[in-house]
Formats: sequence, structure tokens, C-alpha cells
Amino acid sequence: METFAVYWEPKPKTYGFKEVIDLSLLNIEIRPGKMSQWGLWLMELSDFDIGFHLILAKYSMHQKLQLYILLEKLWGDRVLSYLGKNIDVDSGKDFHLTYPVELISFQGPHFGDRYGIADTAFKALDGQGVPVLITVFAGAAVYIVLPEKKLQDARPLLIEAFEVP
Amino acid sequence: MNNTRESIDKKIRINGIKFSTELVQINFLNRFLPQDYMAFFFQLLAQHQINIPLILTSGMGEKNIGSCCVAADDINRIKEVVDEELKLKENLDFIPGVGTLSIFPHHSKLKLLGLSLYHLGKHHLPVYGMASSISSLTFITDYSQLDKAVSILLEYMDLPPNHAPFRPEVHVIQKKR
Repeated sequence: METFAVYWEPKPKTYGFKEVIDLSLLNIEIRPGKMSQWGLWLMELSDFDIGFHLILAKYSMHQKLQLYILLEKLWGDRVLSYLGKNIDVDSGKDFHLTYPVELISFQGPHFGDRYGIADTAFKALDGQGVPVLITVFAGAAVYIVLPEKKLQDARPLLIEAFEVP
Repeated sequence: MNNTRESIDKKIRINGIKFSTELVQINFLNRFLPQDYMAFFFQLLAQHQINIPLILTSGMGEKNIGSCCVAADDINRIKEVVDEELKLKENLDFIPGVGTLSIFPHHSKLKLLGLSLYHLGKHHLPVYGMASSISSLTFITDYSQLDKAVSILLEYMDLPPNHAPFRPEVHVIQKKR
């Protein structure tokens, strides 16, 4: 059965923007065959009750996975210290922390089912001197991670492109 | 370490698992590709009313600057759309026959991530990408291996009674009039 609904909006509606500053972005390179080991280390870290704002893992060349974990700054330092103590020299230094970074995120109705949401976001920031570190468009949510002090530049551009209640 | 061993063996409670339909993953290579080509690709797909359910990008000097997943049904249209854009076309890498597995909730804690990576890695299941959303953690793997991935994970995760992993039966499609 098909149901048709007609809906029109001048700009994609959102439920509002969420902004977080002073975050740490942990980047881990997971080499082939090391996924299970990294799973163990992350489980050990979960014993510290560490919370994350965002996770992204991207397929890289040579079967590697680039894993990014966006954390509060205080957790970033703790994770780095834990990994520094636990990773053996032979496996190499497969991780680093970028600090400080900023996050702007928003959601909208059926964003995951609609074309043009990414285009609207990228078009808003493209060519405006706003470097973007990472983005995730997953389900109805959009996450954009920016370098320090770039949130103030990105905010008005995104507010212009999307409808904010 | 003993705590971790106990954590691995102890089942964690989850509220649900959702599968996607069959997808194709598209990786953006940066051999010669400026990052704004990625934005150009998203523009082309928007112009042709093609949805991109999952996008992961990073501009941090890697060879693969981003990935996205599109419905397998849309891939021929996408190939037609990029066919005339030679530079863009040369820098796209396609992984056909993938699907996503979303587990929720993650409670913004690392445990679900660690446990999933540990078991998927131990069983040599490929993971082509991963992302968190509001409450779920989504893994991209081979579409043909989704059932196997779930049966492995459910040995260590508990769904509520009378719940089973579900495949979406309602599809929302946006079209311009």
C-alpha cells in the first residue's frame, strides 16, 4: 500500500541546534586484525564511565578503520594517559588527540529519508572559510565537528540554511 | 583486565536492533580530489532527488576523506549522474552489497562500542564504517552477513522479551511534485 502526503517547506525544518565547545577528538587507527584488541581496550575504558558525544569510523585504505571519538576534555586526557600506558611499542602509536574542538548538531523530521539535507548543510558552509573536521549524517541527526572558535562562524550560516524553531 | 573479562561474558541489555535494506557504500578518495568535490557530489544527488541515508566525512588528511551509503536500488542512477563528471568518477570507490546494523541505546558510553568491536573483530566480520546517532550505534558490514553479525552479538546482548531484530517495512520516499 502506498500513502502520499504533500508537504512543502522553504527551508528544512529542525528541532533546534545543540552546541558543545571545549571537546577533545580522539582519532584511532585500527589496523587489520586489531579490531578485537581495540574493542577490549575500549571496554576497559568504559570501566571509567567515560561518555562520548559522537562516534564515527571510516573505512580507510589497506583495510584500516579510522575511528573518531568525540569526548569531553577531561575524558580526553584520561583516555590518552590510559592508551599511552597500555599500548605496546610494537603496535605503534595508532592514536592522537585533537583539542579543543567544537560540535554543532541538529535533527529534523525524517532527515534520514530525505534527499538534499547534506547538500543544504555543505552548501551553507562551503566557501565561507569554515573548516570542517568531521561530519556525520545518521538517521534524523546531523553532527558537524569544527576547530576551536569556528562554531561562531558556522552557526549563522546553518541558521540561514535551516529553519530553527 | 579481570573486570573486562567479566564484562565481555556478562550480557548487556539493549532495547533493539534494526537492519537496513541493501546499500552500496561509496568512498571518496582524495588522490586528486579537493574536498569541495564531496559537496559537489551531494549537490548532484540532491538535484536528482537521491537520498543518502548515511554520511561519514573527515577532512583530516586521510586518503579516504569520506564515505556514504545509498540504497542499492539507486546505484545505477548515481553511476549515470557521475558518469559525465570524470574527475569525480575517478575518485569514487564503490563497495556493493553492504547493509547497516543499528543497536540502541548506546547511552553515550563506550561499552556497547567496545563489546561490538571485540566480537565482530573476533569473528572476522568486516566493518566498513560506523556512526553514533541520537541513541543508536550503527555498523556497516556485508549485507549477506547481517544475520550472522546479529546472532554473534545477541550471545552477549539481551533484547527485551518478545523483541526481535527488525527490518524496516515502511519506506518513506521524498519526491518533488
